[in-house]
Amino acid sequence: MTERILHTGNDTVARAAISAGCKHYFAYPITPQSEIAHYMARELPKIGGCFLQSEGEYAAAYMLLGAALSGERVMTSTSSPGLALMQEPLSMMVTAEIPAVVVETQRLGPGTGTGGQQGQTDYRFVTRGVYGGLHYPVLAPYSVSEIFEFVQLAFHIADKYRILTMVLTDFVLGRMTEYLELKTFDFGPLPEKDWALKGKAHKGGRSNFLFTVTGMMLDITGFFQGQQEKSKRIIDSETRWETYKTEDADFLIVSYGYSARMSKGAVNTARAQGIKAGLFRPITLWPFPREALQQEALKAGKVLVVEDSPGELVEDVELAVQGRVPVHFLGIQARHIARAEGLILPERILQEVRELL
Amino acid sequence: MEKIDKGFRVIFAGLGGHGALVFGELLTEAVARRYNYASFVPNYAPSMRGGESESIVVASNEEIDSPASFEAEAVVATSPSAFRLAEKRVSPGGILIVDDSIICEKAERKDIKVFYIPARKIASEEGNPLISNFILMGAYLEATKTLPVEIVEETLESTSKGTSRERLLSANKRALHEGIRLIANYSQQPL
Repeated sequence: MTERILHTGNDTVARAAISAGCKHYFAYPITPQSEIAHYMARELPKIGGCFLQSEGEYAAAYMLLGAALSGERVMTSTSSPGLALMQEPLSMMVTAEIPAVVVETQRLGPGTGTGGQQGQTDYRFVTRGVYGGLHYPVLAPYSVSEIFEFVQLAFHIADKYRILTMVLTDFVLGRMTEYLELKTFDFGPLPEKDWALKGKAHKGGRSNFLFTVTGMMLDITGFFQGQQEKSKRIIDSETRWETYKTEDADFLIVSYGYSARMSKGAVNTARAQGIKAGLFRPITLWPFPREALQQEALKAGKVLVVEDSPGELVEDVELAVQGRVPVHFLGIQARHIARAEGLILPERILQEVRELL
Repeated sequence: MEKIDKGFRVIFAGLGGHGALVFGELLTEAVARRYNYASFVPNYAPSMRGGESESIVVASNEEIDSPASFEAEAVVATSPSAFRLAEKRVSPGGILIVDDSIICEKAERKDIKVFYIPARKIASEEGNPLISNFILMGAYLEATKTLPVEIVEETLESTSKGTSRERLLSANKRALHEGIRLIANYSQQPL
């Protein structure tokens, strides 16, 4: 039988990375995800790896870039303002096709945020890719078990397509405790990393050159053509979503992360009251499951987007639905208290569903 | 005595320092010994001491859809500022436990059972206000019969071992039983 343990979301990020073979982790601590660094600092030396705490997020991401060039599985993790500081090295990594995993635990608000409180105010920030016109995949778990699976899947996708891959969580998911099944995953075969810089001193070592690391992009149109083809392959093969009780639903809730977890409870209570509600949950936020969502939305005829923000996911939902069914929105104003520690709770979601019927 | 059924939900709504998080962590570990699923969502005000601090624990034999909710069958309240909200969060027929050495207000609802326990005052008299959350835990267990105290004691022993909490083990256990005693005697008093 698979072992089950109680684990927090943040500890699970670290545990999953180690399970995926990540031995090197570069980061600067930031609430609400510093527990990832605590775990790595404790566990990585035991397996011959290291946690290197940098002087700031910018340096951590450049360390990530350098280490990733060796072909090893490497990771960083941060929260909203920290991710903002990492943009230059991350853009270079996507440009130069250097694979690594970034875990972003959203904290509420712009600027330096609320000091680490829950919120889902980075959806637009992470799904529009890096500056320079390039996308990267973003996976959005909604439970501790999914964090364990998706961090490992992120390493696989990163290696498969040679692309930076993100796992997006939030304060609630990072800090909550629930059961984790320590399953092992087989995501399939991976290409050899013949691009990696192993060093010439290495047995069989040879010179290698990753042209875009230098920023010298001479063949601009050829470069973007290659990137567009890669994006298309990722869209075609990696777009993921989950539906819950949508088979006969005439009311569709669309949500991700912690608010999807709250929406699931609302769906079950609605069902108990005779309301045929269902939940559509994008798992990859990029690539966004547009076609699948459109089909479900047309079938249900009515859509409510639930996210703890002023309205970001709702834009992708509107794009997917293309005005063919009404799209309603329940956002940060629906928190049970109008403060940083407020949450969008299932009862409030159900109330909105009832009002929109 | 105890219920092995669909499970239960409990909210501890206090201020930073009242022990909401320890209450939640310990109860979740104890729940995990009895139920197929357990979840714990901590929630507290950022970057400050003494801000609102809340724990929501869910016990279930089926997969937990939402690990947090507005309502719960039992609410333990130690925050004066969040008291009116805490009272609203008890589901009809549920239980509200109030530390009335911190909260002066009285509950207005008639459809719930309310217990006033001066946990903080008793804990201070015992010499350690930090154990007040264990008095409330004992009161909660006795008032709701959701878990037998032995399971919580076992959990407390195993999770305290080798930590800074170990030296408080006997005080914490005494506090648990004090909470149980307060509720057991409470029912004989007029509400």
